[in-house]
Amino acid sequence: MNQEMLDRMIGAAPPSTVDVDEVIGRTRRRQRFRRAATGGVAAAVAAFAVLVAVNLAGRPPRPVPVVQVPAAPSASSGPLIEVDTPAGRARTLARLGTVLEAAVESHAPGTRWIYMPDVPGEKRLPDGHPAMWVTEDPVSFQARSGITGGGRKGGFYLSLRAAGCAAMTSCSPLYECDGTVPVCESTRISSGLTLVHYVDKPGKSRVFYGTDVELRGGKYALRMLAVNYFGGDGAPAVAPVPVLTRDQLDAVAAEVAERFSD
Amino acid sequence: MERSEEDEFRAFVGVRMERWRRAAYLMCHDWHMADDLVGTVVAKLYERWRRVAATDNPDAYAQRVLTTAWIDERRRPWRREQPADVLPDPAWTPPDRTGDREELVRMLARLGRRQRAVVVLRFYFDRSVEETAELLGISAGTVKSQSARALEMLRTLACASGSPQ
Repeated sequence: MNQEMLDRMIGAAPPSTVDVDEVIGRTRRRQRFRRAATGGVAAAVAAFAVLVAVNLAGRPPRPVPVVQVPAAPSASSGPLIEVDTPAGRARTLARLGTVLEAAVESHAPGTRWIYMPDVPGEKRLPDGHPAMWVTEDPVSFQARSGITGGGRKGGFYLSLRAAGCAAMTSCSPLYECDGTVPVCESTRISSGLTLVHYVDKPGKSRVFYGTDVELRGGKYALRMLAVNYFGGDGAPAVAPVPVLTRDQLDAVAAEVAERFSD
Repeated sequence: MERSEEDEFRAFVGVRMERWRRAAYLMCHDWHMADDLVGTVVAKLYERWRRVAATDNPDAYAQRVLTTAWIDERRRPWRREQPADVLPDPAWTPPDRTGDREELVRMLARLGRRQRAVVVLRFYFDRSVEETAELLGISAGTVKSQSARALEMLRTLACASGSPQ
């Protein structure tokens, strides 16, 4: 097998839809936004004050989730996120799984993890725990699972990875509220962490609830998504809304983020 | 980014775009998603172009972004790969190679995500075992075993369907 043979089998490609100018423009806007977000602390504080004032004067703000965070592990237990060795990554993944399951049990009682298929032919995993794994570029900790509760089921996704875009690695900065989704709110929760909550309805009755939390120190970001469909590519919506409510997702994300903030 | 750097970036992307698209198609079997993946590569390259251009092998970086983007993409609910009630008019008439393409899709679809990435890096981008291992963040042994399994499966399927190997 070689390039020539594969090219012959692919045949002629349709015209490209990649618009390099558009990609460059979008990337520039994102870079400007990030620079403004990280450099303009005073502006951000002012904007936050304006947002609070608008909320107080207008519609009542959505209540910020009150999270009862259990005592964090002692400092002597070492760093919570270990990325340098396979053993450290395995420990981190195990800790993340434990904390995630405890948080969901605490904030969304009555829900249960169930196996959710992704691609045809994959090995079926047992119910009861989310599927979890570690990826490279850079190291990130991931989870995906089906979840049931309240007589319906849906999907759940988690990633814990570098928040900053440094030295040729992919990254996961907090979701940017750029007006493209129906709901997007950035707030500071009681523990002082920044939480971005967003809702997207991309069509086909699909509903995504997303919560991003930047961990203390700003080095890592936690992302959780609750979706109202179940399965891999192109799976249809199976319920009007995800199993976890928006507040439950926020509370779970806030607790996990707090437990993983050094 | 300075003007000269942007010109250099555009030139770099311009001569490689089709190769990236075809490699992406080998992995995902969908030209729309292939273009999405290439868009991701272009964006990430642009963001880090100064650093990438200073490295010995910017091609390797682009290929790593492409393959890892696809591996990650398969696990994201946010991707755009969704069924459509009405297919858009492609405004393009493909040549009559449907049989080959369907065969390729059918054969590659039987491979796992990482196996497809290994096949593309090893046999389409002509990367060595060691380079492929480094690009995917896996061991050389894993690359060898996954390559062997992928080739074995493709040979078996090709023999079964009477396609040339």
